[in-house]
Order: sequence, then structure tokens, then C-alpha cells
Amino acid sequence: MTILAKGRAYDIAEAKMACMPADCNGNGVMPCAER
Amino acid sequence: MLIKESDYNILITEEQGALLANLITEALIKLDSEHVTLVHRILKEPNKPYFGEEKSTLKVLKNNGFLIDSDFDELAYLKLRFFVARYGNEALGLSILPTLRCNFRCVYCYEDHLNIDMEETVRKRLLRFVDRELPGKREFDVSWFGGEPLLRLDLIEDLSSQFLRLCDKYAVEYKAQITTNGYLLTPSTAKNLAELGVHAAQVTLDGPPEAHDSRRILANGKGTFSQIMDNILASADLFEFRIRVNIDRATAPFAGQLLDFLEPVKEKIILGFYPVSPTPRATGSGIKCLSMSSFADVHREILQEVHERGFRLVKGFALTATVYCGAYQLNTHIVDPRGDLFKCVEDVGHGEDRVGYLTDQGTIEFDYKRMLPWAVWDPFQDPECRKCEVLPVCMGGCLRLLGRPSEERCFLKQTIKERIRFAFHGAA
Repeated sequence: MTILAKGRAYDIAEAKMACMPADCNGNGVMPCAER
Repeated sequence: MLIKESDYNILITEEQGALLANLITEALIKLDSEHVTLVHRILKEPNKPYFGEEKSTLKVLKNNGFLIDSDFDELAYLKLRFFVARYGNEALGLSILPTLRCNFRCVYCYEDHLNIDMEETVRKRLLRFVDRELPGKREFDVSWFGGEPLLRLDLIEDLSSQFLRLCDKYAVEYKAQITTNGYLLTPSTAKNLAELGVHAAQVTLDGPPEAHDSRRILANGKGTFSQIMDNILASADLFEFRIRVNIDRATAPFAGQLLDFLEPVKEKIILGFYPVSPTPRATGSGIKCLSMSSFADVHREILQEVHERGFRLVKGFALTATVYCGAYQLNTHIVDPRGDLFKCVEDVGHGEDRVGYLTDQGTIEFDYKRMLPWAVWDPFQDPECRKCEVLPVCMGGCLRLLGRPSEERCFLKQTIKERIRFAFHGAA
């Protein structure tokens, strides 16, 4: 058994600063006309 | 204290053994074949007496969030994190569109290429707004968007200088990025932007030259791959390039070939692969989109190649999120050249869909009817989301996809195992 990544502590500090630009850069939605 | 299994453990069976991830703590453990059975047993019966190696294993599982106190409510914790990010007041985020014009005519584009640039009156309103909002904030995030933002490099330079001055005045950290088609991102322009606080550029390459040039063309119909690639290679040291690759049914078989072209700068760029998706805003392109499940299959294959060749992937939506999209955050706005505010980029330029506008005094006049769904929709009220093991990563997904079948709406769920593997840059 190998720990590849240790679990992070529960913490909401990061959420306080999580102001993401709302330009859809990451969510995978780039529209087009038809399926 | 009794303990229980986390609701957000994901077990990924490998050829030999397995990977165990927890989507809240982002812990990842590699299990050999012998440990798979043991760990499974401990997770299901954590309150039985264990001794020796079994006790040590239980301790590891507990320390990393795979096992939690039986009275700890993980859903409530996620809810707190979501609402802190949504209504928190420590950061301001703006996507600013200096122009709606574009030098490209990408075949799938949902924008109308209106001949509208930001006027001086709007520039002043925007600066007044930022001046009013920044005091007390810790961070100001700007994303330059368009249209093609570099058609108004002068405006970006002017506004960036003013933003830097205001951030200095109010002791606020400034972070900027740009989404550009990359055609005008010459080395001198890249240098200017880097000096004005732009730390990242998202540029789209839809595969190798033939695929890209069939999708992303100049207004005169000519291809753009070669110029964009030259620009990326020349400025890869200046800021982080995030290469976005849009994939449709016709380009899917060739997408992986793009890696050959990016090999010289693979340590300096980050890749993201996304499906071209249907929207009422874009019609008549003739593009055939992949279904989400077909895209998931294509994505899996590409990720394997990306991993094997040592490229890096966009971390976004790999693991834990606070909110799915900045649109849900009260302090995040898209500002178009007319000073209209939007929540979704698909709406920019469509004044009838604005959620508000900037006033001459630098305040926001909201249209609450349009703004409220983005501000109050709550995934924790959604029965599917509440029981979903991928909730910490997705946080409810895109508001625009509500009501669609889950195979479309929940595409993050379909690729979660690959996302976990590659979130650790090959550690698995």
C-alpha cells in the first residue's frame, strides 16, 4: 500500500479566495449547432 | 468514537491492484492486490477490532479521510464550502470583453462578431466600479475575453495599468489571464501582457493543422494554425499557455496528433480537451458534436497518450471544486463592451439577457429576474446531486445543463476515474 497523495485537512480558507473568472474556460462547454 | 466510510471514496481497479481516492481530501492510495480485499473489508466494517498491520491500515484510511467520524456530515461540509465560495467577499473576479469584434470566424462560434468596442464612458464606469469594489478585498482576478481581446490591446494595456495602480493603492493581489485565439499574440505583445500582470493565456488549437484549419479560420477563410503555433513557441517562457482543444466527431480521430507539434514546449504548457457542444446560440455550422459518452471514450484515449508522453493537463475539475463555475459567485461578473453584465459567456452581446449593467457611478444595477437563478440555485437541494459520489468535483455542474439527461449533464462523473489518475501527474 503506497500513499501517492496525502489527504488534505478539511479547510474552507481556499473557498474564500476561489473567485473563478466566469468565461467557461474549464467546464468543457463550447457550443455548436447540432449534435 | 464510531467511524464510517466516506461517501466520496472512489475505487479504481487497475491491472494489478487498485487506486483508492477520496474526493474531499484528495488523498490517493495505491493498493497491491493483497491490500484491495483488506481495505475493502475495513471500509465496510471499520468499527470491528483490528490488530497489527490491519490496525495500521485502518489508521492510514482514517488519517486520509477515507474513514470519518460517524457523526461527521460530509454533505454539510461541502455545502459550507460551496456557499463560502459563492457569497464570500474576499475576491473580485471580472471577465472583461474590450471588443465583440473578432478576426476569426470559427465554424462553431456562438458569438455574433458585432462591431462593438468598449467606449470611453464604459471604460470610466468600469474603473469607478473597480475603485469602489476593491477596498477590503484580498484578490482581484481579471480574465480578458472577447471577441478577440487583442484587437484592442490598447484598452487592455490602459485598463491593466489602472487596475495595477488600484491594487497597489488598496493592497490587493492582482491576477490576470487572457483567452485569445493567439493569432495576434506576437512576442512583443506577449511581453507587454506579461509586464501588465497577465500570468496565463488560454489559446485554442483544435488538433493538427488540417483539423484546426478546418475549424478556426480567419475572416478571409485562411488557416491560422501556423501563426498561432509560432507565437506559442516564441513566448512559452513568458507565461503559462493553457492549450484548449475542442473536439467534434470529425476532428476526434486526429486530436492526439497535436501533441507532436507541442512536444518542444510540453513542460511549459497545460492541455485541456473539451467537447464541442450544441447551443441555440450557434446554428448552421454543420459540425457534428460527439455525445457526452462518446466524448468520454475519446477523452480516455487522449488522456492515456497525454500521460504516456509526459504532457500536463488542466487541473480544473480534476478534483475538488468549490463552485462549478464563476457564474455562481456573487462577486464574479462578465463585462461586455457596452457595460452590460452577464453570467454566461454564451449570452454576451445579447443585451436582452444581461443580468445587470454598470452605472455612471460605478455601481451595478441588477436585473434580479435574470440574476437570481445564478445566485441562488442550490445543488444541495437536487436529489441526484445529494447522493452523487462525484459531488465534491462537480458541485452540481452547469446551470444551463439542468433538465438534460444525466449522461449529458454529468459528464464529469463519466470521466472521473481518468481525471483522478491524471490529477497526480502520473503519480499513479
